[in-house]
Amino acid sequence: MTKDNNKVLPKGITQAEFDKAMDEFRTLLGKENVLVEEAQLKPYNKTMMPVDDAEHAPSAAITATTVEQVQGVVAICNKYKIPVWTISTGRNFGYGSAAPHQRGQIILDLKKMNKILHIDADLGTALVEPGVTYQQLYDHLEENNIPLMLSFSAPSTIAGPLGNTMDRGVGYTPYGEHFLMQCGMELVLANGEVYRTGMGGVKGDKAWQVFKWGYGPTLDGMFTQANYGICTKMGFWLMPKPPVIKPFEIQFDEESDISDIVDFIRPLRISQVIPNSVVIAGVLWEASTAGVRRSDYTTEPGATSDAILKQIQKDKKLGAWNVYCALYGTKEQVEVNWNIVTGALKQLGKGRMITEEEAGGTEPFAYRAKLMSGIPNLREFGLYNWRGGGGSMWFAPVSQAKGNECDKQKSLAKTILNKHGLDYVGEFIVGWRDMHHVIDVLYDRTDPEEVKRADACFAELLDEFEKAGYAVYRVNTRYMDRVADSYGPVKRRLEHTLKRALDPNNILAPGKSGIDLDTFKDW
Amino acid sequence: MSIQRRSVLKGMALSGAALALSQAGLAHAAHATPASARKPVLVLVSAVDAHTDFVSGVQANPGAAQVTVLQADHGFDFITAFQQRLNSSKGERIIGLVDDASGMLLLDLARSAGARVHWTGQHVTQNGVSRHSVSATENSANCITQFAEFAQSCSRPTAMTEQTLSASRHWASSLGFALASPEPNRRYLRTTPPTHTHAVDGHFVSFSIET
Repeated sequence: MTKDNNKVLPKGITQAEFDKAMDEFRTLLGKENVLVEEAQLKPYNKTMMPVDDAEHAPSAAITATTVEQVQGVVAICNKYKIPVWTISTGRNFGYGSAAPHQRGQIILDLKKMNKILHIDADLGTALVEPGVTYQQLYDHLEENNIPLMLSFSAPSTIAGPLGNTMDRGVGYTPYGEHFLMQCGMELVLANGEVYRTGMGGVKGDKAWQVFKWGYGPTLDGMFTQANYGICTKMGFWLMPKPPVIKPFEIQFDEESDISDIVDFIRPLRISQVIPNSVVIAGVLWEASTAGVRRSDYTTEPGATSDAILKQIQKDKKLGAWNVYCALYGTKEQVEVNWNIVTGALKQLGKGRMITEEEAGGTEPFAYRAKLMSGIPNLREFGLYNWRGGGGSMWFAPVSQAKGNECDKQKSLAKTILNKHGLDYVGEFIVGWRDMHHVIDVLYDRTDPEEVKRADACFAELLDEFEKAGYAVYRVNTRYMDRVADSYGPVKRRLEHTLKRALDPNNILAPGKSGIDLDTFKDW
Repeated sequence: MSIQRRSVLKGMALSGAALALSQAGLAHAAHATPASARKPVLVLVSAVDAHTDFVSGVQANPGAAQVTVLQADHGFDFITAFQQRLNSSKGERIIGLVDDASGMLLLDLARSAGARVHWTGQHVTQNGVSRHSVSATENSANCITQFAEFAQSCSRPTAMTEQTLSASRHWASSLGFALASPEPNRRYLRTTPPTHTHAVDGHFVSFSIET
């Protein structure tokens, strides 16, 4: 028996039990797929949250390559009651990255399950494994001249569709609501059985990737942002690449314009004149992705002043709000919709239209245009250079797509952030009728005092938004339990009833979205 | 020393754009360490002023031979090429001092490639002082001691592997020196990093990766 001494163990597990489990994993997966050395685990432990990384240190990381191996992993975890935190590509930056929810959980890394299983060019469908990245999929489509396009989140190149969809992430094309475009999942349940949603359980069926609902209860949503199963395959829809994509930007000069912007965009979005997930990005978001650093303007501690924001706006030719949209279709379709949009803007009486030609390849327009056109890039990582120091938490409340609601959220968020000496770095992503208000709470992890402030700030954001009737749709692992409370006790009891039925040993990702049989007491 | 600043890659393989530094700066140190202990090291730096000092510290370490310096960024081309290099190389030492965005990406790519990461650090210099949040594996813990020993006005480490330190603005060469050794826990008694260094401002990520 090999002794594995990483100094981190799963809760309630002895070193001897852990060593035995690791030996069984080695037999199942091969020794190269069982990582227990400190230096191998260190990169799994890098988070951006306001706590010591040690609180999220894994005891081991294992990689599986087949569904049968995942079943074997689940069996061993059940045998030893070892909790397992599953990642696909692990690029959940700002939401906990690849680190487990709790110290000691082992990581099941599915990066090596990276096969594109099927693409149907006629139907516009794909079936992929967890480790497939958007870049891999993009390259496959390009190399094979398949006229389909992708929708992805901003870390597109290195992130993947399965993980992003399971966490209900969004993109920037007409297919930007990713879970809406999901069609068919395969999951390994905690008892080791393999369950396929929708039509997937029908022998010989060919409609798994085209008909979501199947028969009887439709359970796909239950497995997203959850810990009831390990997703090993996912189907989703791809948009036919249109002959013309016309990205454009509308800049608005005043922060107070947000209300008018939203009320201007909503009818165009709901009627599908503008079909994509429109982004309304604040000045600091755009400045940092264009390469601006806070230290270029000030080294004073605290929140960046409005005067500086105005100066950046002027220097970098940005709006206080920068609205990114695109039109898709034939030349004739795009022309018709362009006339409708420009007519509506004229009626609004404010806003500066910028076409791709006028932008001339400058940032941030160029990367925004790529995101809306399904071309992967990494430009948005520039956000981390704004303040520096490695701290980032996404605060992502949702709201109705109504001007007064968005204005209220923006003002509330900015007031709280500034009070804690931090900046409002935010954008709204327009769904059909909803807004994902996404704010990057950026802070300096080298400054213990700022770390405390950021933590207090995030807690206050959650509290104050809840008082105003808002909640976030997704959150980092530190705050999952807190956010689950926002959604009420009945939901929590139901989720734990399901957990007890499906995973009585509580081995699958305990803590995910606040679901954990060991800690939940409110039966 | 002159490090050519240029956008690495443009269709080139990562190694093809490398800039090997002169070994002249290492001559004085060659006697201190047997040749077998001196391994090639790839140094990644961002296009910031700190890189010159960081690299001069690397060069001063007797254990660092064949120093190759590349300019890193978080653009698609560099990141893609770096990913390919991580996946294809074995036993290569890669250290760096880069901007936050690049550091985040490079470290996560190291995870995906199954590389070992011995050190990570966040460094901020502002208003004349610097702060350092560093984390090392037990086998590399002495890097923290070495860094603190040579960085000007640096606070004394109190923990072996996780530490927040404060120092003056002169720290980058000490960090380069500390990370450059192929034997992280070895102390070099006769050599030190350059002391006449520039003050460094800004925020950075450091790392030590072994493929």
